[in-house]
Amino acid sequence: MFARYAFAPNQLGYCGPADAGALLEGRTGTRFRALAKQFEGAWPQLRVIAAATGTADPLDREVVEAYWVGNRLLDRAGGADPGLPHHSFQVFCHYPWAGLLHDERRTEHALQVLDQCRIRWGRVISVADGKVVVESRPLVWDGVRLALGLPGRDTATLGLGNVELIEPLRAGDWVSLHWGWVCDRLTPPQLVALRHYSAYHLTLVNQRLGGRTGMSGPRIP
Amino acid sequence: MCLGIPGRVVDCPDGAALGRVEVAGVVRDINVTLLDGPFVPGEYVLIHSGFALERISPERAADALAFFGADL
Repeated sequence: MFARYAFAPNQLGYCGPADAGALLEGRTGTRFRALAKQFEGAWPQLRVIAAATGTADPLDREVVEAYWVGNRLLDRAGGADPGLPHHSFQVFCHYPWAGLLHDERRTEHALQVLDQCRIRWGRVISVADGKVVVESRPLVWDGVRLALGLPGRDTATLGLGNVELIEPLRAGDWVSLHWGWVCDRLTPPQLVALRHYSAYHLTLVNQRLGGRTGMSGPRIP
Repeated sequence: MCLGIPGRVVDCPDGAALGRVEVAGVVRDINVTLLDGPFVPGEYVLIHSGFALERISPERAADALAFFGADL
């Protein structure tokens, strides 16, 4: 599961070890653990969740799910900071991009990075030739606050060459997305959790930016 | 996900949107449009998600790279 979510930014050279292919070669064992530790943003958060919940292994599936998607473990892993060790907290509140939104020269790029770097959710419209058309709600910025905009269609990449990271998708499935890649098929509880924790941290970053809440507007039916 | 990491400018033609920057031993194309050029080969920039966000001194780059376990 860690590889499915970490692969896209790793392949783009944004984080983790230099050899992106290595991440897919063996997704368990000592070597994989050594690779995962090189994700200098994610690994400490996995450790926080594991320690707070009494889980021995930071790469335990439920711990990894808590960080990327969200689940019940997060509610036991909070500290003094209102933010939780969820990927959306890092993207919205730790990274420099939200702070650049007020800079007109940087607004467009900052919004693009925030939207691609967060774990998005979308509904599959069609699948063909390793590409998936999804309907999802992009981040929008009105000069005061971040919010989710109207649903639109995007094309995302599925798998890498002969490596299929998830089982075949069908129209109507819900999936998670990271930097233009499909990470996983989302179960209904995972979809609820990803929406919930993303909304929580969107609200938090808007408070810090001086705005208000950020999840108003229509849901994808 | 990822923290910002220092990179050393290898080559960046004046006015170009992308510069070639060495990041942790790998030369990558980095978007430099968020900073004012020109960029001099050898200078350091702080990179996040494929963008150069800030010019930094060699000393600060060395400190940051030490954090990541790399050398200048």
